[in-house]
Amino acid sequence: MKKYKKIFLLLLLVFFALSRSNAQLQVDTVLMAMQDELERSMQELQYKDYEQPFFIAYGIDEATTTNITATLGAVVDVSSLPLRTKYVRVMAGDYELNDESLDSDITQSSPGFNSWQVPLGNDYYGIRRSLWISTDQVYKSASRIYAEHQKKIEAEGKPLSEIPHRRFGKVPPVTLISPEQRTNLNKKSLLEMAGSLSSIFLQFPDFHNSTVNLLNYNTISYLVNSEGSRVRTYKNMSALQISAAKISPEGVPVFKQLYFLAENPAEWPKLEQLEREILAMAEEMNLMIDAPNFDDSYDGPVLFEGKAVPTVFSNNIVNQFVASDIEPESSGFGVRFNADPFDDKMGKKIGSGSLSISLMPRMKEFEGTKLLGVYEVDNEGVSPAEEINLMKDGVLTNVMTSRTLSKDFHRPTGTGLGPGVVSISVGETSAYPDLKKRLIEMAKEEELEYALIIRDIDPGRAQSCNVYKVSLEDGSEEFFKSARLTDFGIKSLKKIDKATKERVAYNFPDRNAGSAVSYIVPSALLIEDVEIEKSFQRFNVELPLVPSP
Amino acid sequence: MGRRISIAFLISCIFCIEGRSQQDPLLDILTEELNREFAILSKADIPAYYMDYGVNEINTVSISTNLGSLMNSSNSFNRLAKVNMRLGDYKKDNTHEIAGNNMGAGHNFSASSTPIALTNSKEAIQKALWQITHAAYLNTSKQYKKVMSQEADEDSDVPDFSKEAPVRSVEPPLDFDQYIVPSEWEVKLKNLSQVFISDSDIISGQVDLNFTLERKYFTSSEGAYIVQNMTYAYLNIHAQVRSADGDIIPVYKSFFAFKPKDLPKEQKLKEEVIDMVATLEKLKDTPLAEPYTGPALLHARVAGVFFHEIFGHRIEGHRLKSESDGQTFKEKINERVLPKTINIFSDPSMTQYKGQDLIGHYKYDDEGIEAQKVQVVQNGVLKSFLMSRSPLENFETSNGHGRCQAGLNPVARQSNLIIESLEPLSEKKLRKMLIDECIEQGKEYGYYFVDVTGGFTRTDRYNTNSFNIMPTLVYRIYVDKRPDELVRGVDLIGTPLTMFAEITAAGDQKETFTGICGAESGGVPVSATAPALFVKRIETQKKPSATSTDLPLLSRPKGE
Repeated sequence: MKKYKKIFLLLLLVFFALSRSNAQLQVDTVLMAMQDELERSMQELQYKDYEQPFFIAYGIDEATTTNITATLGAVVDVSSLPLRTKYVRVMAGDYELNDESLDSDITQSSPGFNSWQVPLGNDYYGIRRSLWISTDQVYKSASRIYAEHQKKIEAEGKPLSEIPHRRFGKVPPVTLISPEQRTNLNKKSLLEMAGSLSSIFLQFPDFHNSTVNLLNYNTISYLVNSEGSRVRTYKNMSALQISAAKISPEGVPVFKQLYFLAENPAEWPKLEQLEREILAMAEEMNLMIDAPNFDDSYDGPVLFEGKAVPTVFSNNIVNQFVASDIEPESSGFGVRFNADPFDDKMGKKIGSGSLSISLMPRMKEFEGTKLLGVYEVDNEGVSPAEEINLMKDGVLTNVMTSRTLSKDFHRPTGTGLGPGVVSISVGETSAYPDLKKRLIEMAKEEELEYALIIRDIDPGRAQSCNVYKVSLEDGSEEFFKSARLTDFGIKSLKKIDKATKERVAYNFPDRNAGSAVSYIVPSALLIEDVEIEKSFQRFNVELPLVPSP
Repeated sequence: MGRRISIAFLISCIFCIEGRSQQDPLLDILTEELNREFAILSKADIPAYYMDYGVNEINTVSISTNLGSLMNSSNSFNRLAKVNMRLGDYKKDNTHEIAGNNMGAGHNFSASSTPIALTNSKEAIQKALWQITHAAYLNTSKQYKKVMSQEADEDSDVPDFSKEAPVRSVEPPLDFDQYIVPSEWEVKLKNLSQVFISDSDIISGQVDLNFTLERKYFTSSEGAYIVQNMTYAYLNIHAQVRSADGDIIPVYKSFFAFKPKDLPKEQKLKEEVIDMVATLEKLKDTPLAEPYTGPALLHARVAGVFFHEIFGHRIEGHRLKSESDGQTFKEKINERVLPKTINIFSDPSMTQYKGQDLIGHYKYDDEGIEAQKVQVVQNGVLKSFLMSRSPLENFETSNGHGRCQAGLNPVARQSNLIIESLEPLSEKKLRKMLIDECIEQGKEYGYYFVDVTGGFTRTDRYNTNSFNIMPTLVYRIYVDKRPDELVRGVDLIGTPLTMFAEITAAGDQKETFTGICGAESGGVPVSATAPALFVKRIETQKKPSATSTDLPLLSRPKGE
């Protein structure tokens, strides 16, 4: 059998060499190298008297990141860097007790030491060598750690079921070999676009600086594991970021950013539309320079609109819905980390009775908007359900759980790549004009001087936002800059009052470069009790002695 | 007097702008913005008396291979602009050392810098320059206020910045693509690194190439302007073998030429790799050496690093001005510091030594001063220092050694250091001297340090003034005529003044060590050309052990 395999491999490699277009075959080479090294490792690895590994997983991400930065019509940086990164997981023990089950005194061996990165190109043996050396190191370390865990359990003198430990979740194997789907970037056109968009700022010589940044992430993800999973997926994501800063004559800086995320550059707004958006942004910045600061302390109803709705959930809420870990051993400082695990509230009401939150990581589109957070299989080889309910009518029903399980009710949710697509719905709905009327009524009931609307929140700057004060007399609005949300968290979910029936989809970049999280949210959301304070990020800068060129 | 200087400056400025506009558009943009900024900042409450703009336009190809696999192949092109600003006057400015500041002078090594447009877009580049100039003025004015709040110090007679005649030179641009075809080098390097796969104990066998074309721009408020091209092609070979006891042993080889085509031919490189494989084979079973003190021979390459570390860093002028520095040689001008048979000079204007390209070559330094040969030691007597524009007592001007990495501010640094012996001896004679001295000292053997990866030294007052050289190939030479024995696991250590006194003789064959020297103004390319040395007494210490690894459980996937 082995002989035939070698002959087949040889023929295949000859075929690669002769092939005019070997991109498709190169993909197969990566998977074949991963699969072959995995099989060999599962069959042959044996370290001293330790047990053979019971689970091995290999992941390789082949990512090409293209970056173009321009300012005032000229390109400042252009780079395109292909890189393959690997993930090697070798586990000793079994699904119930293994080297990851307890915290360890032994340092986990990093596959980085004396390890090779994954080579580029159609390099079957090079890829295997890279996996081989990491596998060797991780397996040896896992074996030693597992033996240590066995001794710890034995010393406890209790059945394993009574000792808090992490289990490894069993999941059915997945086979998903996506057809090739490469995005051919027209670099020349992107360079022209960056130059053209950035040149719009030449109209505003009093702006301190301005930048147009185009980023394209093209990723092929491979995964194989000893349970029989084989996965190859393609993803392309293109981000367009336009930022500018202006300084007032008093030295107060104002920043503004436009951000567009799409599956490829062709799906960004058309150039004319982008030009209009930039001009609108510049105009808004000029208004911001003259706008008063929010200097009050507000505690009352707030109407969130537009991008502010998904941002509050993204910044403060969704990342709380994660499975807890086992309690770590004493830190030595008398502090218990993870003292209040979120999933202890399972089955309890934690939000407004009309609020439901679910994940739909396999959903590709919502009312014409592509959902860029979509994925079919996560980075642990788990295929998520079509819908994962995290909260139903205000009650906590599930948490995002990896294959590392620390409580009996934990089940892998296939959300290792993040939430993917988050769907938020509120049962109590009103049309927007009625929501605004209700906002005013609620403010009056609380004897406030005004109500507040928030339309945008800076995701990267500690809850900074600008606000609109709403007159309780006639509903007119006045813009104030430099406010911030305080103390907004899970508890705020109980204060959700009503939302619009209309829902809108947004895509946000995820923490991992090249991935996204999509939100389907009401277009406006009224929360009855929100604290808004003045921003603590205010500062003045010294103005240049020399005027701008 | 002041008026005459001003007129002369104005005339020369008009002349040079006219001349420049036909020479290099980026230089014109830099100069125009410099003049605009300086006209205002020189009249500010805290006036700028000097400014320069520098741009490093860097185009690089990097290719990396390991055991026959291509690990990286990339190309980058960028332009980094920086501003150097001085407030006050030549005598006392914002860089003046602040007494009691353990970190050294008031000099800010990190310049105000930014990437700028890759094309000659006047609007974009001027805006970027305006931003960094503003940032630089804010920083330097704060620093200047601190300096001026200090009481006058004893060395206040020595100016902070030397007055120099402005230099003007513009080279035409070079075409990067004419120098290198990356795909051809990818194949060559893969083939070379594939050779390492023959030994399963070799855990890495990297062959990397870096080729850089750097076009450096400089324009100053004194009327200097320089545009010069520099090219560097480095080929590095680095391999590691696992010894019988699990230790990881590295060996290195590096090659330098200004152009890739002048690097050794592929066949020659292959022979080098084969030679390295043979060395690695031997190193696997070599014994670990114990700490030792006694006589030693330093091969020419090792001697180059030895002089660079223990001597070269101590003749860099700016250090001798800093209260925090050990100032080993400050008071030793015209005193004998080395054997009278030793001459040392530093010459950045040299491009080659015996056909070997010298990486420390440049025409003008990073302060716009022409590179000059400096005779540092004559017949063992210290004669001069390597000077930037930071003067010392009796060394009032620069000799073209103000250097820095892109984005940093320059200080005095080494370039091409050449060590010569007036009484060169053959290797055979040096070996005999070694053995005789071993017998004299009652030693069973002496050490022969044949190759080296690099070294480091400390020159400040707050740590032991020591050096450390990291050899990769070390032999024991026995007095009883046993064959030389390869050993591993030792570093050559010591303190400089003791070591100078122990240098007894030098060889008749010189070799050049090439490297990137890192210090406060960043990494700069340097070379050190030296003969082999016989030293009566050296000291070694055990190397820090590389993390020992077990043999891999499974055989390495081959593919040879």
